Amino acid sequence: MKRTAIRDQLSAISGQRSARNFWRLTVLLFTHYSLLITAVILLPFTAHSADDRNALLAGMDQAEILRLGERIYREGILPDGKPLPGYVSGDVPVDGTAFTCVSCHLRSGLGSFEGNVVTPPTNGRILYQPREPFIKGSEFIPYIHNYAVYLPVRPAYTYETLAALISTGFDPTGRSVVSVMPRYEMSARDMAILIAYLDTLSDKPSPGVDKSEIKFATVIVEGTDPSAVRSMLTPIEFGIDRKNSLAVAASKNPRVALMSYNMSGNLTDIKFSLSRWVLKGPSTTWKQQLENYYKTEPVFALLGGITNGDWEPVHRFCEEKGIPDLFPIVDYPVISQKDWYTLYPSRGVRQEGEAAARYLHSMYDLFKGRSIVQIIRADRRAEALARGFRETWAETGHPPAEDIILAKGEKLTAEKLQQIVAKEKPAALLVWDDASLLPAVSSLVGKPDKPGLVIASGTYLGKSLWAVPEEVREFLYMTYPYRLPQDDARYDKAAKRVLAGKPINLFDPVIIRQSYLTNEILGKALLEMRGEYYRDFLLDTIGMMADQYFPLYERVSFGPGQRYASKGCFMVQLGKGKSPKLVRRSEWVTQ
Amino acid sequence: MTGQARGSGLLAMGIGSSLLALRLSPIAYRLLPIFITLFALPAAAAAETPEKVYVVNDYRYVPANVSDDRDTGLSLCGTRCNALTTDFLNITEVGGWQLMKGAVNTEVTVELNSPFIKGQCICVADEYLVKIDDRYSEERRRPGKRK
Repeated sequence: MKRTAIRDQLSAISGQRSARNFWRLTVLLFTHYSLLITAVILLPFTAHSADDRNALLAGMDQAEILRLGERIYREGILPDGKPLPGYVSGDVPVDGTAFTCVSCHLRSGLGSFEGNVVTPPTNGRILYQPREPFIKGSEFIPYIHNYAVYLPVRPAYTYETLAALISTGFDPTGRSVVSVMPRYEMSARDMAILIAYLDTLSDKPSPGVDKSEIKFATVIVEGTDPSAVRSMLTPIEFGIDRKNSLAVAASKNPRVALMSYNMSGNLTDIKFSLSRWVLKGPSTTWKQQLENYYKTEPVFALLGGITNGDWEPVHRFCEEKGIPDLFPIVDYPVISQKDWYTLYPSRGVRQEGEAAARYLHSMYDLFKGRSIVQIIRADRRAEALARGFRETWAETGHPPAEDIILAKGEKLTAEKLQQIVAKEKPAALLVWDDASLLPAVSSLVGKPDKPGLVIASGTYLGKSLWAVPEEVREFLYMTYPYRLPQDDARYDKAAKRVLAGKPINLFDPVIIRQSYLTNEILGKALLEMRGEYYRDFLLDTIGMMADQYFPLYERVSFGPGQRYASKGCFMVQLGKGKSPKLVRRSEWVTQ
Repeated sequence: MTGQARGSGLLAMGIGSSLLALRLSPIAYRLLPIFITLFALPAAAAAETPEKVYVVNDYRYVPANVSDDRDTGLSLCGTRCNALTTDFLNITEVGGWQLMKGAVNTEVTVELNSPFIKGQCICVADEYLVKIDDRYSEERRRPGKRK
């Protein structure tokens, strides 16, 4: 009886549900088909045929079409210079310059994966193919499979259906794409220009890549300290050797092959090579030397690279040729908001000056009108530190600091420093000099006009940082752009791993760790690229990475278009006692 | 080797030297400091206190004088307490280390340590002990296992 009653109740509930579901389904189908019908009705008004497209673009230079298309895609600016209008969430008007195509589909057009939002590729090569719940040739690679099944299937786009999608937000199945994707209003000609550009995105294989090999090179400027060069090369060569060993092992052992295929898919069989491009003579000749190397051996990307001084010619060459350069070891990187192809470990020496400016900004009100003085040694390092401070300080809106530049070859003496302090009576004094500043700064102890704090560069002081006299430690603050040594010791094991048993004292401890970054980031990025080895996609993939924790820097972070991985610096003081530790006086001060 | 362990080793060497007065055979004399060191090291390691780190949740400023600027003091305490805090991923991401949660919302007092304003910062923080969790290290592998 009891069971029958339950069954009756269940069937009654089920009947109610069925009835409800019927109405729900009816409403859904009605909505779906009405939207589809709307899209089909709108189609003739929003899109034109491929024949019309050719007519619309007739007489236009191909390079000009691509330039204008790139501008729409990357900046949201129409050919007439006006912002591309669009609507999100149905009817909320937005400015296309704030909702550009590139911000989600990225520069390569191969899409992004951020949180739970997958932005599908928007390049012609993929759009004009039907989307299946698998990627051909990569059906059994777990992470690619997971990606493929996440996106709904659809037939191949045509020019007309693609134009309809951009205008109405409906794909060829009548499915509405996510509401955050704007529906853009543009003329048929502008649409033709944009689609012509999409057709070229990631459509040709990048140089230096084929089915069996990815070629890399590293640039070494002649005259760089051999120990520094060795420290830069060792982690990169370790990564490449390990990768190639795995490829060999996979070719000989089916179990290794299966494991490797599950992890890295078609990357398993691909070997890596690393050439050394050595630049000789004056930097004005480097461009030609690079051209010659590249002509003989086109590479997919440059890894690392090292110089004692200038890097700009290499940076410019990479911009011109569209070659990514991952983390060259340079003290003076090219600072640019727009350049795309070179990723630096940090903003170099100047980053310490920038951190000092931000630190002083937080206490500026307490200076009560007293000045800030920068004493700058006449060399490139000190000038870079001072420039970093000056430019960041200017952004805060405070009156500029007083700059005192020492004569070339002049060292700061106690007498000179006391004169400056007596004259300027600064609240804060920045001394951009090497260890020779320590005796001069020591002479300020007990003086009535002693500044509240003196700031120096931890990296410029070098090992002398540990020899700061006890009486100076109280008021000498130092910029320190790395994780503190006592904390970085946890990462020693990781850093030593790339040395393959070689003694670490043969290497520069900073450079080996900077180069470790190159090896790790390259490996992670290639694994995430779904077999799409395009240069822009390499940089897009790195740009979408979460914060990473490696030896040396407190953290490295990325973002689309961000080109300086470590963005922070500590302000520290040397602790008391005979075996002092560095003590943090600030958080990881970021840009 | 930790500072304490190194200290204990040197101490052992010192004891070894002080035994010079005893008439031991040359070999025994050479080996004695090593034995003493071996005995002293585990004791020193056991005495080592685990590192304590903080994740700061809140902070406030306690002025030293009535005239101290409270707003600026609070702002500087923000920097000071943030300097105390730890990005825990820095510890756990490398592998081989774990954090054991201790006190929650404990108040840690630090001197503001500014040349321009006196006072103290009260950093409200969760306390963690940093513990080695190197379960895959070679030292912890069973004897006879392939390294």
